[in-house]
Amino acid sequence: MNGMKNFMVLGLVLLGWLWFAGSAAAQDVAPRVSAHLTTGVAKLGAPVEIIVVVEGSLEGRIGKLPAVDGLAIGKPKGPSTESSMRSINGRMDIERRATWRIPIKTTRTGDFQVPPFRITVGSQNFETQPMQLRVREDLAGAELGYIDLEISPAKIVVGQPFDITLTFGWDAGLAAKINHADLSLPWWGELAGAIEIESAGRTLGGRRTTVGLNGDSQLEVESLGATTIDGRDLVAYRLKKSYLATAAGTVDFPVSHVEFGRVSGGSIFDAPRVIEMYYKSAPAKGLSVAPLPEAGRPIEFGGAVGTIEAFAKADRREVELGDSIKVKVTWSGDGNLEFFDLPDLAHAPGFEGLRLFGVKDELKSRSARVSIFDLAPTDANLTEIPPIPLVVYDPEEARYKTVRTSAIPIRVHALKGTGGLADLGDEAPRDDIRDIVTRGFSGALGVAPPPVKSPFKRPDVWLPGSAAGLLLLFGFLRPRVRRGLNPAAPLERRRRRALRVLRRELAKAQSAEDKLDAFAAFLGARTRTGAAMWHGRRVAGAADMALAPALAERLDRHLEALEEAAWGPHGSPPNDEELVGLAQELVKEGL
Amino acid sequence: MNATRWFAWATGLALLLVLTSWATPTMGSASAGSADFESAVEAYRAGDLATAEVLFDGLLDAGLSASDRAILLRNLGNIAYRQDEFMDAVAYYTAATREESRDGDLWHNLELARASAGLEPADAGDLAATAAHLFSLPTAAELRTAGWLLVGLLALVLLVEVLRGGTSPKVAAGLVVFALAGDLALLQVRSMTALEAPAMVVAADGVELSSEPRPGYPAGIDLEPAEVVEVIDRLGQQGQAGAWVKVQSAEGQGWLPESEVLSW
Repeated sequence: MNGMKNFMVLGLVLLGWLWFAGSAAAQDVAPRVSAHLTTGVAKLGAPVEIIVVVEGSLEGRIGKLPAVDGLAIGKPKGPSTESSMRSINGRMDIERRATWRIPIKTTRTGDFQVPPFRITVGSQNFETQPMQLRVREDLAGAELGYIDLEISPAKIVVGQPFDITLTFGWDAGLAAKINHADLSLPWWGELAGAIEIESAGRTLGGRRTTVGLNGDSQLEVESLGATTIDGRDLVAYRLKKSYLATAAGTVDFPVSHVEFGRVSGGSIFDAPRVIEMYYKSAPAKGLSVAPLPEAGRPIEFGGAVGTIEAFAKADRREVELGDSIKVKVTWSGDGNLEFFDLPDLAHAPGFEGLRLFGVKDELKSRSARVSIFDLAPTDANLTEIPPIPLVVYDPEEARYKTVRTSAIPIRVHALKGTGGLADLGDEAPRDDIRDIVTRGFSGALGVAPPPVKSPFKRPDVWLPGSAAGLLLLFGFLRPRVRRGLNPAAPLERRRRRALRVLRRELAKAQSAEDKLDAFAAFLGARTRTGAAMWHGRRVAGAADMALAPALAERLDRHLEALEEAAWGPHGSPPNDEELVGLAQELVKEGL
Repeated sequence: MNATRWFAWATGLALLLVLTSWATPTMGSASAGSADFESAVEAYRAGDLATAEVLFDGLLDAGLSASDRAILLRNLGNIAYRQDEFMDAVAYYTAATREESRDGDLWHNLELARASAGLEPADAGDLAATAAHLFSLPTAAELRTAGWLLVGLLALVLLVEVLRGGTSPKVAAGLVVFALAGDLALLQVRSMTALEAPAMVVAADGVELSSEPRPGYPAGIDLEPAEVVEVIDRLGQQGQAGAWVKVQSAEGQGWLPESEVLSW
């Protein structure tokens, strides 16, 4: 274990020494700089590079690159660095190298010289040697290839959209051989004075394919297939883009190239190898952009340029006064639909009888924009929504003109009992506070206790305490008052009703027997027994009846009199008042 | 048996009488404040808002009944609103709603003042806001009155249950107990959350509390506009320039100039 550790430490020390020694050696070697072109003769459009190599250092800085008419020198790429170590006669030597690649686009034929430019390594400055480059037309490519850049329209004004159509391809006879195509479009993404906008639209059903772009990216184009252009049978492709001119002047399109040919390989094990390659160029073009004329420009002009048409449609024709009408206006054409300001209907002439509540606006496509105006009639006499005007500069006619929608007839129904919203004026109804209170102030001192924050400071215990006490009192009294009886039981309810029932039955009685039955029923109910128990019964001296003796005797006399009148040959029953009076006394005595 | 029954009746009736007599609000004595009130109203009608404000504010005594305080606070809110002091109006109206929460006109004024001050509506209209508004409708005094009435009703129902029995008195007693419990709970919550010396931040952009009653000592606690706080200390005489108040907010304590809050 220790041996392994010692071995690792030794290895690290050795590597450190080698690095130090190598660094020391590298510092001793003076850096050398060289630069050369990848080729001295190139076809027009073919990629050329300047290779800058710094030996003896991994760092360096390339100075300002020269400008050469006919050559577009790009930004340096790199550096890519490499270090190698070798031993010569026991002496370790480390080589360092940094390489930059500077792309060059050839835009015309001719003999060119790339002037020297500065390269700084550490504190030392170096200059490259002049480099010669001869650019010649690719005659075969010019004959077999095709590329054309079309700009429409040819003259525009600021704010006007324009379209470009790039068509390229090659001879139909080469179709089976060509497996590589790359467009060189120096203006791509760097078009000064114009911004890209949504394209006018791609061909429905068109096939799409991918080609290279500027050697470092991919681009999707429309495949036209085998087609005839200018009498030539070609396999062609098309690219369409739309822009909007933002400044007056010229929009420049430098020379564009198409590179097409055949390559092999291209896998991770096999670098692409060019078998044959052709180049075809399209000449540089410029698009003249004129400023918008000041003369004759209406104050309502909101930046609309081009050919624009307007169509309006309302969601309803019959409305109540003040009701909302949604007016949908569709703007179409090849104008700058996305970029103009909508007409201000709140102040447009003819819209005095309508109130604008808002606009919902949406660009549906490059050639269609939909604006929905929310309008409400404020005049009951309004018969139509006037034409909605839009001031447009027409480049073809070179003048400002007003595009209008058609008027939309409507019928406004006035609200009952109102003079119409127009009476309210331009301002929306304004709410206001309710008036001060002038009555009801008593000036009396209140009784509410001051609020307390904590229930433990001044607990408001009286109310819950009373409720709790009440429940406790209920629990205490209930069994003592009831004494085991249920006041809701039928016997108890009959007992409570006994006196009332007696009065009722006596009033209905037709005979002495009826009266006897009624009184016996009363006594039975009050003693929680039956009426039959009281026929022939006497209570004086009875141990189970806690009645006063005089009252008991009086009860017995009344019972005898009732029975005599009911069942005997003679006798008359006591009158009703007397019976009821006796019953009340019995109840009072607790019967 | 008869003696027990009479005892129960007598006890119940006596309790009912006592409870209902406690529940009846005590009438205060009219004061000379009515004359000042009339003068304040006349000044307001004459457009003399400053005089009206002084008179209304002078009547605003802690011993007044809740309804009188609500009237004065609302009128002071109107004066502030008419002077375009919308934050002060919001404070006065908010204070008035604490005293009289069922005044629709008062809520209208409060929402209008909040809108004019650029604040969110007091009643957001959602379920929580509606529930909070509903619970705030009865005043504490009304809750107490209702509580005593419920206690009296409970005594009556229990008495009936003792003497007559049956299901109906039992159900009625249960309902009354349930209502009484709700009333007591609401009253307790109201009592626990009430502030002894409430105040509202009237600075339109809010204010940062100071750790000491002088500028330059930020406490790191920001108060929102219209935030209600409790005044717990004071430096300087109330209403005089340069006075500071110490307040308790949900985030903590701190000092701020008295002019930045309005207390009631």
